[in-house]
Amino acid sequence: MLSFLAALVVSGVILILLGYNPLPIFELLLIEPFRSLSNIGGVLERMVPLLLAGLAVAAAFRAGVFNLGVEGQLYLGAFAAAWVGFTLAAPGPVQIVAAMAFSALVGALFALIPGVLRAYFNANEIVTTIMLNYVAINLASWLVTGPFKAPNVGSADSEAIAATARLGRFLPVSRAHIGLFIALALAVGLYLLLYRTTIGYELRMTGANSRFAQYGGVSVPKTILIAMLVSGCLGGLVGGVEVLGIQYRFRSGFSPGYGFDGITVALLARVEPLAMPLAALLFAVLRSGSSIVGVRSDVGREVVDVLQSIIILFVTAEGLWYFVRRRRAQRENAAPQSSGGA
Amino acid sequence: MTHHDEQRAETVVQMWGVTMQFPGVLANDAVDFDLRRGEVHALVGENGAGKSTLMKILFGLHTPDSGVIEVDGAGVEIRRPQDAINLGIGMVHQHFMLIPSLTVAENLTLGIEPRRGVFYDLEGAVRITSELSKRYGLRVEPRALVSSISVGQRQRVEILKTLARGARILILDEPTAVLTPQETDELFRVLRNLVQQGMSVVLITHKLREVLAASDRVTVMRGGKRIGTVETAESSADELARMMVGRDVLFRVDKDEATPGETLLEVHKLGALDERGLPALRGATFKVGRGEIYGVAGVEGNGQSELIEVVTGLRRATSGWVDVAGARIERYSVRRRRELGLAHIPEDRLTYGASATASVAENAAMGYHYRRPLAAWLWLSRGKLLAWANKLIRAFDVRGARPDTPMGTLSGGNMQKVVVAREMSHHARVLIAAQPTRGVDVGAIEFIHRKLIEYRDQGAAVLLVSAELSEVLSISDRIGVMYGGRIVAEFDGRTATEEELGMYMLGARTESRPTA
Repeated sequence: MLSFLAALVVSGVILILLGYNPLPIFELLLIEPFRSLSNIGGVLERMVPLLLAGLAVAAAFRAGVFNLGVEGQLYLGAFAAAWVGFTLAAPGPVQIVAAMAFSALVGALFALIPGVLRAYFNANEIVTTIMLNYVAINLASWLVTGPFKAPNVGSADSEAIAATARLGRFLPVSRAHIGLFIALALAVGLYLLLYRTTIGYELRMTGANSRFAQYGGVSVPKTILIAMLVSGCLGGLVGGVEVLGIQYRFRSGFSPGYGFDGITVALLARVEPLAMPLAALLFAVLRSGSSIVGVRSDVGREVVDVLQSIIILFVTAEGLWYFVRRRRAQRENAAPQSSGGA
Repeated sequence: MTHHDEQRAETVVQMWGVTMQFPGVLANDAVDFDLRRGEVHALVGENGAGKSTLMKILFGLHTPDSGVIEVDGAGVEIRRPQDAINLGIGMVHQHFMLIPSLTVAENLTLGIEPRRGVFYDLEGAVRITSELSKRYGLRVEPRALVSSISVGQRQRVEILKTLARGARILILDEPTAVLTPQETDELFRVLRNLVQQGMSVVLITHKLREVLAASDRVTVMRGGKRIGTVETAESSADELARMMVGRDVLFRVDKDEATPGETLLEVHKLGALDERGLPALRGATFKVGRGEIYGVAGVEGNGQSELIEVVTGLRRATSGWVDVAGARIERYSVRRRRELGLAHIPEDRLTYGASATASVAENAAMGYHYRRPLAAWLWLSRGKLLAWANKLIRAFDVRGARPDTPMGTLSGGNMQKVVVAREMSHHARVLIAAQPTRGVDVGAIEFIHRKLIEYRDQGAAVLLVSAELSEVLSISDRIGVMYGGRIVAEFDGRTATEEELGMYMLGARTESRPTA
C-alpha cells in the first residue's frame, strides 16, 4: 500500500512536470474502471488471461523453474481450442470441455520441450522458453494463414468456433464471461495442488532447496518436468479460454503479451495462487484505466504507459526482491554441484 | 606466556549493565564485560546465550536499551559500525564478507583504496597487504584471487582487513567453525602473536577445547546473563561446561556394551570421484552390525563426504558395492534406499538436511511425505503433518519451534534436532550420522549423543562420521580411520586412544592393525 502511494506521488510529480493536473488523470486511471457495469466488465474480462498466465508462471516458479514461454503456449493453446471449436460436432458442454482440455494438453506438450531440456540436459529454461515462443507464435500464425485459414476473410484468422462452444457471458453490457470463474477455480486448484498434495510438496521443496529434495528421495528432474507440464497446461488454457470466451476464433497476434504480464502478476502475488486473483485484478484495472485515460484525456499514449509502468514497478518491487532472493538461494545451492567451488 | 604483569593488564573495553530486549527475548540482561590489553578473552555460552548480541552491541550493530560502554576509560556511544571502527574495534563475522572475484589486496583495501591520482593504486594495495601480513604474521598472497584461496586464508584476509582499518580490539565470531584443525591451530598462533603486540581479542566460541587452548580469560554467558569470568589457567573444561549449561555435562557418554548382531551395512571396496573428477574414495571396506556404532575418524577431505554420499545415493559409485541387510543397493534410488531402511543425518544441514525457507513441519516430513501416516494416495494431510511435527518437536525438545515456524529462524542446534528427529523417527535399520553435532551447543551435543546410543540399543546399525575425534571416541563401539579414501585401520572403541588414531589420521602409519 505504501509503495502504491509512493508510486502515485512519483507519477503525480511527472504529470505536473509535463503540465497536467494529476488528479483527474488518476481518477480516470483508477476510479473510472469501476464507474459503470460495462467498465467493470472490461476489467473482469482482462482479468481472466492475466490470472491464468500468473498461475502458469507461478506453477513453474514454485519448483524453481522460470517458464517465460507462456506467451507461446497460450498461442498454441488458443489454436487448439479454436480447432476443437470449429471441428467437433457435439453438445455445447462437451465441446467446451474438450476444447479446454485440448488447449491445456497442447500447452503442456509444448512446455515439455524446455522441461525435458532443463530436467535431463540442464539447459537453461529461461533461454529455451523465450526462444520457443517464436516457434509457437509463428507456427500458430502459419496454421491460420495456410491450412486452417478461414475462407473469405482478409486476415489471418481461423474459422469461427461453433456458437455452442462459446463460454457464457454474465454481464450483459460487457464481454465478461464465465471463464473468470474457471480461472478462479484454477487458482484454488493450484493452491490445493501445491499445498495439499505430495506432488505439490515435492514441487515446492525442489524449488526451495533442490538438494534437500534430492536427499529426501524426490526425483528432482521428474518434479521439474511435472512443474513445467502444469505450467504449460495453464499457459495453454490462457489462450483456450480467451478463444472460447472473447475471440470465438483464432486470430494471429491476438495476445497483447498476456504471457509476459503473467510474470508481473505472479510477482505481484508473491507466487501465491490465492493472492493471484487480486494481483490480476489490480493489473486489469491499470490496463483498463490506461485505455480510458488514452481515450478521454489529452495525455499521450506514451505518458500513460509510463504511469502504468511506474505503478507496477513500485508495487512489484517488493515481490521482485522476493523472486531474486529465491533465485539466488537456488543458485547458491546448485553452484557447488556444477563448479566444484574453492 | 599467557599471563601478563598486573601493571600491563590495563582495561581497554568496559561494558556495564548492558541490556538488550528483542521481541520476546531478553538477549542481554545487565551484562558486565571487560577486556584487557594484550589478552585473548573467550566469550562462551550455548547457542542463544547472548554472546553474539553483546559483541554486536560493542561493534555498533545493535543499540542496547541500557548500559554504559567505556573504551580506554572514556564513555562512548557506538551507534554504527563506523563508530566502532573509529574507536579501533574490528569484527570478523562468521560469514566472510569478501568479493571472490577480486584479489586479496583489493579486498583488503576496499573502502580505503590507495590512489595514484584518480586511479586505483594496485601496487600500493599489494604493498600495504604485504606489510600488514609481515607485521602480524598472517601469511596471505596479495595477488591471489579470493575465489582461489582456502577458507583459512580468507579468514586471514578478513582479520587483516580489520587491522588495515586500525583495529586494536578484534572480535572474532566463531572463527573456527569453518576451519580444519590445522587451520585452527594456525589461527591461534596468529591471535597469540597479535596480543603480544598489544592487541586485544574477543573470541566468541562454544568449543571448550579452543577456549582452553587459546584464551587468557573466559567469560561464560547463559540465558542472556553473565555467569562469570575466570582465568583460563585456573579453570577446567568441566567447570566451564557446568557454567555454560548450569549442570554437569557428561563428556564420557555412559552406555552399555555393544552387542553387535548380524551385519546390516557392508561397504566393499567402494570407489568414487569427487567434484573435480578425481578419485576421492579408493576402495573403502568395512561392516557395521546390528546394535553397533561404527565411527569413522579422519581429517576432513579424506573421502568421508564421498563415502556418505555414495552410501546414501547422492553420488555414484565407480567401483565396489554397498549392502544393506542383504540387498545390494549401490544402484538404488534415494527413495528405494530409504524404503529399505536407510536414514541419513547429512553433514551439512543447510545443503542437504533442510530447507531454511520451508516450515519445520515441511522439513520434518521430507522423505516420508508420500506415504502413511502423512499422506494417503496423493493427498498430503495438513493436520497429520502438523501433528507429526508436534510429536517430533516434543520428543526431541526442539526449542522455539512450532510446526509452521520457518526452519531458517531456528538456531543451529534446534535445526539439527529437527533433522535428527526426522531421521530417527522411522525405525530405519541403518542410520548414517555425518557430523551429527557440528555447530551445535553443548547441551544439544549431549542430547544427540544419547539419542544415537538409544537408537543403537534399539537394534540399528549406526555409521558415525565425524571430524571431532572426541565425538568418535566417546560414542563409537568400533572405530575406522579413513585416510586417502580408504579405511586404513580399525580399533576397538573402548581401548582406542587419540594418539593412536591420530597417527593413522595424519598418515604417519598406514599399516592396518587387526581389530582387538
